[in-house]
Amino acid sequence: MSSEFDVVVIGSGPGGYVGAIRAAQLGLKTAIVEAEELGGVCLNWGCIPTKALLKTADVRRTIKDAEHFGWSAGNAEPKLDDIVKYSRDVSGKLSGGVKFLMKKNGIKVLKGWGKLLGNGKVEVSGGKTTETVAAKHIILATGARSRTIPSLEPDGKLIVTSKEAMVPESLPNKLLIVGSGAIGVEFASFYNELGSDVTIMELLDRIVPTEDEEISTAATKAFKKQGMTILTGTHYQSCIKLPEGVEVTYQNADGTAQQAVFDRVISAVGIVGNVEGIGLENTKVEVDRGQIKTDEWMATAEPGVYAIGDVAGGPWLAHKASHEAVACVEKIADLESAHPIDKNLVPGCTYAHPQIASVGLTEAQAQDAGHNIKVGRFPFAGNGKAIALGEAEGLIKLIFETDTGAILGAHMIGAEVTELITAIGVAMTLEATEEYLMRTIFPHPTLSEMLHEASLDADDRAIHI
Amino acid sequence: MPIEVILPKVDMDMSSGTIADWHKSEGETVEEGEALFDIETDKATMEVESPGTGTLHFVTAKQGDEVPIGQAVAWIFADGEEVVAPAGATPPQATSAPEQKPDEVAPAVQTEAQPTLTNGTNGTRTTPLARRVAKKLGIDLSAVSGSGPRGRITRADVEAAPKQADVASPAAQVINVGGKTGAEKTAQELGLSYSTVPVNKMRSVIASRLTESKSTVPHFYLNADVELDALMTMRAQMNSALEGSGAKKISVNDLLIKACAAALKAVPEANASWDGDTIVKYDDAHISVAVSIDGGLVTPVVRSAQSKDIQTISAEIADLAERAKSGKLSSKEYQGGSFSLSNLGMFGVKSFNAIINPPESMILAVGQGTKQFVPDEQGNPKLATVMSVSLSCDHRVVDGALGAVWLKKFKELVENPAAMMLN
Repeated sequence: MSSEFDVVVIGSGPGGYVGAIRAAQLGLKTAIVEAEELGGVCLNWGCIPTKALLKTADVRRTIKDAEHFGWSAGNAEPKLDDIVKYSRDVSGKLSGGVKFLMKKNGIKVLKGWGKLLGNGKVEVSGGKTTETVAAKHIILATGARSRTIPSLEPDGKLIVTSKEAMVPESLPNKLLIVGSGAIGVEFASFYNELGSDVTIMELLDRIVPTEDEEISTAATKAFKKQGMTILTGTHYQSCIKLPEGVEVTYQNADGTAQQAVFDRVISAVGIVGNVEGIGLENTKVEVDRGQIKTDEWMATAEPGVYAIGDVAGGPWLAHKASHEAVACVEKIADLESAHPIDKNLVPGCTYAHPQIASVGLTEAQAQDAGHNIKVGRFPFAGNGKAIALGEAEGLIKLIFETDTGAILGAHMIGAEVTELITAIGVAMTLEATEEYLMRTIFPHPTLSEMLHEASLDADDRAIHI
Repeated sequence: MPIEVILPKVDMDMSSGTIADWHKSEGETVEEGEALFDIETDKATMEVESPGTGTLHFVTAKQGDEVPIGQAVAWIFADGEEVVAPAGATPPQATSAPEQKPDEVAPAVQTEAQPTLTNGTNGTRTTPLARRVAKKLGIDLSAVSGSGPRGRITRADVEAAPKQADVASPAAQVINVGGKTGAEKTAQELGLSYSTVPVNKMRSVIASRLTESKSTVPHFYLNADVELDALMTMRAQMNSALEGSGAKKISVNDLLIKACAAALKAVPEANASWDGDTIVKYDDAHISVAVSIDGGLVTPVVRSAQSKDIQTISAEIADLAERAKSGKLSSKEYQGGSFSLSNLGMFGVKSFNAIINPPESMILAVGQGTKQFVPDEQGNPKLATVMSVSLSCDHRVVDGALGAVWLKKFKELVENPAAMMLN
């Protein structure tokens, strides 16, 4: 059996399924290949289920802090199975939603493992039958998985990756998280709130190292206050599995070797593109350090084959994948309004407690790039809404180019900053200058007022500080 | 996907344009960059190039249709592409002509039709950051093409602008007409009462063309007095012969156009343009006639005037002037002159010197004919109608003696007008 499509997308994550829908909207005959659940890691094993887990941690925090708000609520005890079930149900619901969207847009879903055969052919196997389909354009959207290091080989029980960490059967007493990127600190927040004794180990000299330094400092302070142990500049070396847990050997920042026993370790040392087993050897597609090389329109070295999202390199974020997919498909359809994405405008969000969000350049990056900058800051402690919410810890930091007023970057830590960052994303996309942020009338009382105040502060004009 | 051919915005403030002529018809093959159709705005007609290569189909706007900016007027299908009707492939509703605004006037020079939106002076099409960066770098936004949605000019576009100038895009060929003179600042400081008027497209075209001419073309001037009596007599005879025929009366200016053309025919070396490493010599006398219109002037051309009879010239210039005033000239009608005539006699001006209209090499400035006593052959006073003229010449093409020969010929023809009637 053989069918011919305009576009075949391999992988149904937030890059793949969005690209398929856009292709269908543009009148292209489209199919999507998926071996597992529709929606990919994001919906099933990433962004969404972890947000559900973190919501359950927020519930615990609210109950714990009830006295602060005038309520006597007693102690809250987690029902771990139900917490995990809540998270899985949310994923299940959204995966079903993607299935509906595929049907609504007339996209053929091919269940199975997609593999390039060359010459515009894709073999789909592992389903009920093996079939070969032909496509004028093939988009690789196979995503990525947790990177593993040989000295910390996951076993799914004592040493786990994010996938197992979001469906725990029991709560660890002493938990080590190796790696302090977004994934690491989100699990740290979740398990810490549920009662585990959490240690974060980071090789670099600060946690969330891709963020602005001030944000890392604020996050460290907040996490320590919540009882976590933060080990930065610390080199994980090896581990031995013991009956009572995992004995981990690491080198401190001062170079001394240390040992500690944990009853679970989450490996969160990055992710790696899924480039294996998809038939790249049958094409001219080039791979560099686990990611497929593409041009700005996501085209690979093989004519008619494209790669988008995590498999095409970082930042490894769902929204970046979606936008790359749309850019790729619109270029295929030769749409005049097609435009490649500007990676500098991809916001990053971390849903730990406190939340962290950023877009654009950090202060250090802006200086290294030779910009003359002015920085505006505003603390949550100066915002009425934040105080009323009981969320008076946090910081908004905006970086502007002095002579042009260009918004170079925004860095935030605190309640709901993952929602606030969008306003700056819009302003940067429209190339607003600082004076347009100053002119914008922000509603009161909102957390967003802090964006206004921070922009005013860049010219020493902040009102409430 | 077929390539959509849209009605481009070729001028500021235009909201619609009329299809003046199709160079290609349904089913014809077209090459990218080939002339596809002429668009007529309320000021000018411009050629629109094909945005792609293929076969033209679904031509929805025919000659004479008025179409809003951005609307598809046809589609180009690539070789082998299935020809199916795209959405929107139905004839558009003709709209009524928009009222002409007083500042919408014809640019007196060629403007290249560009199928992209490049309206840099309109604030809504430039990002705040791009405006700030342009100001900082001193870049004229009207010379920058926008790459953002709907042609919005972004910072990157502004920063790339000097590179555009390198490839000499038409939009980037902007002559520096001089920036702020400090006039407003001085007026403010001295507390003078004043108002400011934005420089519109026509004004900036006049400014750049004439600044270029006066600062790059080496001008010199030759003055002469010409007696008009014989010409006036001939004109009176012509008009009395035309009486009752319904034909338009012949004006002195019509006869001066003819005289200029005849003089150019007699002195062809003067009918030429400087073009860098060559001099372009014209076979015919194309006389640009300066016509004052609301807010500026245009110079419609009477083509090959040396071989046209006086009634044809008279009718043509009347038609051109009328359409110039209503802003309905096509660009071809005000381009490609070989000589200019500017007459301010009707304002009582005795004489004046004019700035050459590049790439032409000469312009004749004509003053008012006045009655004067001049000596006749016996030295007795004779009443004559005398007109002062001043010939401006581009010394790169026309030397003093050549200019003088031409002016002598012109004077002879005006004073003995029967000769100019011989083709």
